[in-house]
Amino acid sequence: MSLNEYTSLSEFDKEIVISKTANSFMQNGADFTIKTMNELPGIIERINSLISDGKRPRTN
Amino acid sequence: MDWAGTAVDFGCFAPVNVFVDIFKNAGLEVTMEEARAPMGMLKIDHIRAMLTMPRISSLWREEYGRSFNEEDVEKLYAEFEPALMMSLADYTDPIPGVIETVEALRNRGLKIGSTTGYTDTMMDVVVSNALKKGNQPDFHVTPDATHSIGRPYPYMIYRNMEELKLSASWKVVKVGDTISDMQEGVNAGVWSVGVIVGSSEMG
Repeated sequence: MSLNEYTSLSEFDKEIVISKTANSFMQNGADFTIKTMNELPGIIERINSLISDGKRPRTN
Repeated sequence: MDWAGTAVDFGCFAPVNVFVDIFKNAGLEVTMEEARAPMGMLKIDHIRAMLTMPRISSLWREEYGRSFNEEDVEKLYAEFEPALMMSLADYTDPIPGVIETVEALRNRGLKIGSTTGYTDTMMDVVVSNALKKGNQPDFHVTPDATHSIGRPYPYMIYRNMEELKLSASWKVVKVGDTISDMQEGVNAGVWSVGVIVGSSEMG
């Protein structure tokens, strides 16, 4: 899907493709999914705090 | 961090149309979904993975009266590579948010490595064009550096860890836009993060 195709989707349709894609990542071993790269620093903070608690990948 | 579909080329379009075209030239109509399913693998492995799909395998048998073999894979790849190279430079725009995020992470002291399903020849085009547009990780590697063993194997991530002097896989985060990216991360023992908007997996 191109950026134009994506931005022209209704909010409802965006949520559908986002949740479908997120499920597919999670089923294939993702620890987290993010909508855009802007959310990555926040996720990395969360991972840092999980690591401090002794957690490791795939144990979340 | 992955490249196409994650850092550049919103929707990972550069390879998709070429996969559809080379199969069409071979007399097989494949869908965009089929062309996207193995995305992220080394491109010759991607072609083999498509041919292995039951529907495409049976289309092949109808067309040629026999199962596909490794020679067929190599012939298709020989068409794929030059066709991709023709258009690759046009698909190097940064995906929104990437440049700012990389900069923010770097300012916090993180190292930014990268892996890909492209070869060195392809990455020469992607990296030089991406750089002009402000996109520059600290290191990039292709399966050419890992005996052509790409995703879902973890070795490209290990080349990055070595180069960037990272001490443990559980302190590494892998970000990508495909199933094979997630598998690479799992196999490497790193944290795997799937980025959705602009991904190949979104279709």
